[in-house]
Order: sequence, then structure tokens, then C-alpha cells
Amino acid sequence: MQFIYSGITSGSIFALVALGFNIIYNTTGIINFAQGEFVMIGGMLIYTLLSIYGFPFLVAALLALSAALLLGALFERVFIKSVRCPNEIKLITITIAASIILRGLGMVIWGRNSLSVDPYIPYKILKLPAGTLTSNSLLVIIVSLITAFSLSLFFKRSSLGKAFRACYDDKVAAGICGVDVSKIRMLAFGIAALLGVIAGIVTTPITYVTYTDGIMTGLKGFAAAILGGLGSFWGGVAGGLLLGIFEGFFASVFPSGYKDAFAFLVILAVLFLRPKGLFGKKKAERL
Amino acid sequence: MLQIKNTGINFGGVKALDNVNFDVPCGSITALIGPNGAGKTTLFNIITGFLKINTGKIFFENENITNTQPYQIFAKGISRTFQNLNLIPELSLKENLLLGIIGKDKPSAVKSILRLNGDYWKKVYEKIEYCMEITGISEWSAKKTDEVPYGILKYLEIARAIISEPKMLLLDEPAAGLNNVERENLMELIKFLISKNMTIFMVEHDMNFVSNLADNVICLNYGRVIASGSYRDVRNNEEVIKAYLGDSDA
Amino acid sequence: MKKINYPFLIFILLALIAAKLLIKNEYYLSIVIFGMFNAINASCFNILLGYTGIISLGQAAFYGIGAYFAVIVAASFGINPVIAIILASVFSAIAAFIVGYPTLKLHGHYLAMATLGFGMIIYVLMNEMDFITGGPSGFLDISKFSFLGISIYGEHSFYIFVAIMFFIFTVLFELFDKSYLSYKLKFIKESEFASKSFGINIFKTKLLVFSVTAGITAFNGGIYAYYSGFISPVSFNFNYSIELLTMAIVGGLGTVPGGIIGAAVLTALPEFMASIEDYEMILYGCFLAVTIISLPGGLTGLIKRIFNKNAAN
Repeated sequence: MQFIYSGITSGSIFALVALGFNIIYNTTGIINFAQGEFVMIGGMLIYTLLSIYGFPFLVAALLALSAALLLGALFERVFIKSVRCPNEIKLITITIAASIILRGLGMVIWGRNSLSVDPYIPYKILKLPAGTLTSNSLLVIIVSLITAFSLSLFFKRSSLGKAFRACYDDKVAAGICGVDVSKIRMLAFGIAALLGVIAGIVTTPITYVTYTDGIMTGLKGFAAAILGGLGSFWGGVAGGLLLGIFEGFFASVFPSGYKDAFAFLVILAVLFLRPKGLFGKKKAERL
Repeated sequence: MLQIKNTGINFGGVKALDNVNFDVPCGSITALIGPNGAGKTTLFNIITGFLKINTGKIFFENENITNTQPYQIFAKGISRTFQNLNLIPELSLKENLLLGIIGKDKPSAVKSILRLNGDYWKKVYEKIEYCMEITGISEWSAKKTDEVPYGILKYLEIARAIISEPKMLLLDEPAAGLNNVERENLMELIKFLISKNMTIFMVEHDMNFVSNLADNVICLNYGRVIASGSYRDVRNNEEVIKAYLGDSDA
Repeated sequence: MKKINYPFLIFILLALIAAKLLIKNEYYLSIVIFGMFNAINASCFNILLGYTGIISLGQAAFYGIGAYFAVIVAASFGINPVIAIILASVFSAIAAFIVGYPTLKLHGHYLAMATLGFGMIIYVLMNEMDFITGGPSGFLDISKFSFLGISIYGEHSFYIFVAIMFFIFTVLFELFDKSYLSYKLKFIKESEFASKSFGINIFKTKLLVFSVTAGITAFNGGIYAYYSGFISPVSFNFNYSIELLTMAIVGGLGTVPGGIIGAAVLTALPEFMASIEDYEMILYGCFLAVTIISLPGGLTGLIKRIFNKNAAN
């Protein structure tokens, strides 16, 4: 049963990444192949701020989060907005290009080694029914859930959040009703980067961070988003947790090296059997 | 030739077509009219296999073609034009016409790559020349689609639809966007096609155009056939007048 | 049928001969050989994305399948490498058919992710199934290669062999581009709706294109395995698929020279900047981004525009 606890821990990270995918997808229709790179950058930033500059944790976290918003917004302006006559293929490839650049920057700035930071809270082992959970894993789970809940409140309650949802329903109509669609797009990338950086901050004490991490994290987050239904908010969260638990189970049965293949089997299986995901609603398509 | 029997289709809860029945006789020009949103283009998309119907059957030359794949419908000899042109901007007019024929002849890929069937391609290009000539767009043949006037593109669409020598031609608003001269020419072209044993079924809003050409007129409103017969009969039908002018009681 | 671009083919032929005559250094010759492998793979990717509109991020997997299958089959059953490579190519085409059957019904990002997932699974299998594949270290001593009784060994004889293969491929690609098939694929790419209306079985065509390009890529992979003498999973990972994508886009999608020019530039690039090796990845990404944003036709489009301008003057 131990796999459930480790699964929920990694699953809550997948959930954060999946939410990043969904927010961008809903407001722009783009799948951001650089989403995993945000997580890597998050880990690197917190390493620099804590271990090199020696900031107190709260200051470091705040700085990293503001940097994330800026990075996301800049990302949208530099890469996405400058594509002329955008089509799906161009937008996919531009985010791939951006992910290569971010990864390259990660390597040039932080080198090829794995980096780590000290745990944010004292190490403790919590005994739970049929397994254990470390205090740091619990922190990951709690932070992810708090993030997801506050984000959902933001979308439901705040007027800016409502503007996001208006863009999702109908971009043109939202534009006519005075929503600044371009600003919303930029903000969507900002929030997605923020989610990535949060994920990066909370996982770095547990898993270390290397410049190549983004690919796998991003793909697993996408698998989670697909599993839950692309574009569905709580679907993404549920998809992330489920994927984490499945993957944990898979790794407990098969040799652990095969673990990374599992997320892709999930992607393929969901795409073939139920493209709208477990909880997604398909938007009606017209000819 | 084409028989629509008890055909119905729902989009969600909306009945886009409800128990539609009519025939398109062989060798005729049949026009489908009706206000916007009546279900005309939906019906075209059903006949050409893009939409699956919920009830009813469709026969072409006494063969049941209900819910057949679009490419199979084309193989049976039904060809169409589009309301919003579906042309490829990066290719010339002449190259755009290739699409009209390769799906029918299915030339061998290996032979074509190795250039072993030159005679066949010579004939294809002769056909393309011929179709451009009868539609009057020969002089534009080397131009790309974004370099020619809209009217020429409408003719190009028809040329592409007739190059495969279909038995039936579906025209979706052929006269829309054309000026008067172009309309006159289009009428001549359609008459010429009829003389070549083609059957024509068209959606058209221009009543002058319909009255000059159509042997039969079918009027659709809210997914139902409200009148059919000669242009005169349909025009004088009370329901048709109501549909177009609005119900004065309401 | 359009006229064949003979000057282009002659230029390629002369360039291949000139490279053989001028380059004496074996290391530089090997870079040209790698360039040709990349050019064939990038051209196959170009046929998929530039002509048909299929975005496949799993091309490296087919390359790897070709290499591994050929080496394993030749070693286990003691058959001639050439036959093993042909078998590998057929096997890869069948694999592509099986993968493509469900995936090619998808579009855009779904298709990209599905093919990427396939590539990752193959990569994991290459690493983990060490009882067949040799695991992360792969195969070291791949047997000698001979073709029609002629032993091919060393940079010089492999250069001739690969150059001939590359030239045949380029001629076939040019013939394909000028035949109706390239139009058929472009019709599918631009408007599936219109193509279906005119009797084209889109799914069947896409599946065929996907399988044939996978077969060619695998054939190429088999030759690569015998050329390099050792293979390991790293050569066939996700990064290589992305490199192919970059080459095709930077070179120019939907054109014959596109994949070749892109492969030539991006294979040679790291050699010119050995001192700033760390920046290679950033530069790659920037090339790709700049091409997408401001050079829609890629380098081929740029060259064409320059030529046309000169012709107009």
C-alpha cells in the first residue's frame, strides 16, 4: 500500500503541471510543450536564492514566484504573440523551440549537475495505515492542494478569473464585452509558469533538479491532463493524482526502469479509448 | 436519381432536419431554397456523407448510400462545390484542379513517381485544359488562387467538381458573390452541363437565377420541406411566402 | 507532372563528388556521412509534416528500431546485414502501421503527444530490455558490413555507399515532389474536408505515408548501425526527434531541399562552435524560433527569394 502514498506525492506534482497545461489550453488553445521547463526553472531558482544568496525561505519563495509570473508573461510575448498567422503546428513547434531554449539556458546557468536544497521543514516519518509518509512529501501534497483550491477560487470568484472563463467560452464575445483577451493570454502563461515554479520549489528538496528534468515532468503532467480530460480543472487534479498512484503501483509490480514508459502507455490508451479523458466534456465541433 | 426518404438529423436536442422527402430526377436542375438556417447545407453534407442521419434513407441510382463515407459517395458519381471555397492558396488554379480527378482515377503511385504513365497524365492535363476552357478561366490557369478575382474562384470550384465527369453535381450557392455578367455566364455553363447529361442539384438564394434555371424547386424551412414543384407553384405557396416574409400574425 | 529540378539534382551530385575529392580528413568525412543520415531522416519528417501535415515526434524511435532490429536479427540468425536491414525496414513499417492505425485519427497536439509517447516507450524498452538490446550501453561490436560481396569498411568506402544511397533517395524524393502525390498530400494537409469530398481516403493515405517514411527511416537506421559500429539508446531519444523537427523546419517545410539544407546546416553547426559547446542547445532553439516567427519558408524559402530578386533585377 506504500505505493499509494508515494503515488499521491508525485501525483500532486503532476496535478500542478496538468493545471498549467489546462489553463493555457483553455485560454489560448495551445499545448505548451515548455510547461515542464517551468518546473525545472522553479527548482533552479529556489536553489540559487537559498543556497547561493542565502535568503530566508519566505523571501526566496516570494522572489521565485514573482520571477515565475514575469517569466510566463515574457514567454507569451516573446514566443507566442510574435507568431504571425498562427496555426496549430506553428504553435506546437514554437513552444518546442521555447522549451529547448529554456533547457539550454538551464544548462548554461546552472550546469549539468543535479542540485538540491535542504528540506524546508524538519524531517519526520509519519506512520499511516499500511505505509509511511515523510513530512516533506506531506508538504508537497498540502501545498499542491492549497494551490489548486486557491486557483479554483480565483477563477470562480474574482472578476479577473471570470474574464478567464469568458475567454474559454468564447474569445470573440469576451473581447466584445470588454475583456482584454491579449492580457488574459499573457496572464495565463504567467499563472502556468507560477504553477510550474511552485511545483519546482516543493519537489527540489526531495528529488533534486537537473536541467533535463523538464521533459519528463512536462510529459507526465500532460498525461495527467489528458487522463483527466484536457481543459477540465478538477479533471487535471484528479488525473494527476490517479496517474501518480497508477505509476506507483506499476513501479511496485514491474522493474522500476519501466516506470517512465507507463505515463505514455496511459497517454496512448486514453487517446485511443476515450480522447475526452475521464472527466472531460467534449466541445461540440462543427464542420 | 437521388431520393431522400424520411430523412432526419438532430444536433443535440435540435431537429435540424425532420422527415425530409423528395427526389431529384435524372437530368434535371433541382434547386433547394429556404431561409438561412433552414438546413440546406446540412442536407448537402448529409448527401456527401459528412453527417450521419438519425432517421431515414438516401438512395442514389436506386442504391442505398445512407451513412456512406464521403470518399465512397464521390466514387459513385456525386461531386460538389462549397459555400466557403475550399481551395489551396499556395497552388496555381491548374494545380488545384488536380484534386478533382485523382480521387476518381486513383493513378498508381509507383508508376507516377517513376513517370511510367505519361500518357495518362497527358490526358489528365487535356481534361484540365478542357474544364478550364468551358468554365472560362483558361487565361488564369498559372495564377495562384489569391491572385485572381473571387468570381474566377467560383468557376474554379465548378471546374474542379466536373473534371471527374460526375453523374450528379451539387452546387452550394453557385451565384453568391458573382456580378451580373458572371451570373449570366454561370447560367450558360449550367445549361451546357445539363446538355452533357449531368444532373444538377443546387442550393441558391437568388430567385431570379432559380426561376431561370430550375425545373424543380424544393423549399425548406426549419428542417422541413414546406413546398415543392415548379418555381411558379412554390413561389405562390402560402407557407413559402410566410417563411420568407415572416408571419404577419406573429 | 511538373518539370524535374535537374540543376538541383546535379548540384547535389557534384557536391557529393567534391566532398569526396576535397575532404581527406576522416573526421570531417564522418561528419558529412552523419549529415546525409540526418538529411534522409529530416526529409522523411518533412514529408510527414511539410507535405501531409502529420506531426510525428517519434521519428527517432523508427530510426532506432531499424538499427536495433537489423543488428539483432543479423547477429542472432547469422544472415547478411543487407537482408537484415531490409527486414528491419519492413518491421518498422509494420510497427508504424500498428501505431498509426489508432493515432492518425488524431490531430495536432494530440497526435504530437501520442507519437512522442510512442517514441518514449521505445526508448525505455531499449534501455530496460537489456537481455535483447544490451541496455543503456547498447551493442559495441557490430559485425562488418558487405554489399553484393564488396566489403564496406572505414570512412572512405562508407562515404561512397551512403552517398549513393543518399543520392538515390534525393532523386526519388524529387520525383515524388513533382508527381501528383505531393499535391494529393498537400490537399489533405490544407483541407481534409475538400479532399474527402473528392474521393480521397485520407486515413488510408496518411497511414501509408506514415508507414513508408518509417520504413525509410529504419532502413537508414540499419545502415547507420553498421557504419558507426556501435549503437546505444541515447542516439534514438526524444532529443533526436526534436533535432529532426528543427532541421526540417529551419530548412523549409514542404520542399525537397528543406530537409537537406536544414540537416547540412545543423549537423555542421556544432563543429564550428566547439569552444562554446554549451550554447549549442540555446542556438538550436533560437534557430527554430526565429524560423517559425520570421522565416515561414525556412532557409529554402529565403534562398528562393534571393534568387528571384536577382532574377528580377
